[in-house]
Amino acid sequence: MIEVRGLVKYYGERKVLRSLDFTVPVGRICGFLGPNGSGKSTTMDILAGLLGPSDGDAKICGFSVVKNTREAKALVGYLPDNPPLYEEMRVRAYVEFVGRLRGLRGAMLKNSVDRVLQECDVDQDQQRVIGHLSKGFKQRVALCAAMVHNPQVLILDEPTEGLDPSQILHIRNLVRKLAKDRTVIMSSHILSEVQATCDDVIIINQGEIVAQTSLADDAEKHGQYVFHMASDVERAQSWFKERNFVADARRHSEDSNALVVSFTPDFWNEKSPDNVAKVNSLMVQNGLAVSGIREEKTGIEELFFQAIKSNGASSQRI
Amino acid sequence: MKASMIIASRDFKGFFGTAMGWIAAFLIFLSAGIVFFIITSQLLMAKQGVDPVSDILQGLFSYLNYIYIFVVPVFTMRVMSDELASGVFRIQAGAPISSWEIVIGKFMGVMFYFSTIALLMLLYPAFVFLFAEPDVKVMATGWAGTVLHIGVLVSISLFVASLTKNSVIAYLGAAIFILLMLFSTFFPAAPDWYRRSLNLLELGSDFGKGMIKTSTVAIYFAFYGVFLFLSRLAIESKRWRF
Repeated sequence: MIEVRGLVKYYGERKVLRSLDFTVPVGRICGFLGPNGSGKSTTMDILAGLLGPSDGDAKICGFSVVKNTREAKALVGYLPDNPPLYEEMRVRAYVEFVGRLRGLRGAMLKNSVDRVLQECDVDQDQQRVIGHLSKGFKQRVALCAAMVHNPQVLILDEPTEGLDPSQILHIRNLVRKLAKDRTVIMSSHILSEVQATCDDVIIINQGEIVAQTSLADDAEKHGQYVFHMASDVERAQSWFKERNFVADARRHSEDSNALVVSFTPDFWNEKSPDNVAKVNSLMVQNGLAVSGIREEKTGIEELFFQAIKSNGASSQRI
Repeated sequence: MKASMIIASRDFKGFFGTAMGWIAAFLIFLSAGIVFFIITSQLLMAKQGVDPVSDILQGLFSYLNYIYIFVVPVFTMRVMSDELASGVFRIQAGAPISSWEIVIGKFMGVMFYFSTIALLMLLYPAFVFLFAEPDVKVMATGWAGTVLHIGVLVSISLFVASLTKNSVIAYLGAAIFILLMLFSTFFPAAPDWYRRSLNLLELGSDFGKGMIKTSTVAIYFAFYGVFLFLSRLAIESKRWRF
């Protein structure tokens, strides 16, 4: 579990983190999003014990990164954005070296190294020199090193950077598998990647959290529906507004025939799979011709750009 | 301490995993061979009685002491500044080990490398046995003095390298620092104790005569302690200072 309370970091006079507060429980994957220079990597460095905060604290499974740095570090596996690798070493020797630094010895070291090499799909190339590997391969070797000591908390800064689509899928599945009994926090510039992998999302801009949401919960939430009318758009809008199960009905744009309709929570409480179809039947009975209906959900991209545009003057809960 | 040994072992192997380690070893070995050849052939041509220790070995060791001033910073620059710049240092910094263990590991890694080279250098004194009978004890203390001298250079260079990510500044900074420290001992106003302690080229001269002075050994270890402590402070401060 990761608990961050009032985390502040100054680089000289510049305040790069402005009192961050968030919690990531066990079994969740938290996506950390933000534009370049927003403070993502600084936050991750602090969580990994590489940097000290100017104020506030972060706890890794109850251990403070300020007061119990050593204990906290032992529980963290960190993959930085620029994978730290000794280019002249061979893959296995490198992962073994990191394992030894993490206190693994003998059979435990051998088994752990075998396990991570297999999990990250590099066991066939364990005797290759790291400097001769492709970028994606190096990324996977660095991931092996981050996981060799079986950490309770995984901090992954751009874990799929430089990987091809099949490798991305592989890492995504691996992260999801690992997250079952661990806490994972990952940053990525690929929004679709975050959407596909993460349970929760924190969006950070200029050192403060500007939005946070649960993607897992959002998936179960109902979005808005767009009704494309064959004709009589204004009459259809008035008809919707008169219904007690409609929260809002507005034109998609001035010159379009589409209406964006939000339904009340009571409307969905019936748990009927054909709620919207029943509305369509009602409309037909009232002489309103519908040419198409589609659900419109707020995607992570909209969420990201809305949050960044609002510039986080005050943190908003979505 | 186990973590220090793991770091030292990796760095030591790492030197021989790159061309730099082999080339530096080759150049030191070659230049020492040339110096050895010149000294011995001049002495033999003069047809005077040759004292193998004072005439040959002391000349060779003092030449190497000069050379190491310019070679050692290359290695400390690699294990510290280069790693800080490339981010590889994060492997050690992110592990549950203390900054002391990291600094001592880095120090020992470079020391293992130069001790190995110093061991190979014993090949030249071994040649002396072909035409003279040198005192083995004096040879051993001379070798020990060289290793202690290298230790001072490593600790100073490691401290300078821990201050910067820039390899060039790390190298030049360390070499210039050591040279300035040496030159400062030639100022007439410098007190005797200062001259004796900081003139690294003279500090170990007793070792070349077969003498081991505890006061000299204490000065060497004081150098290690001070500069390794400063290196540790420099590393630790990187966590908090920006």
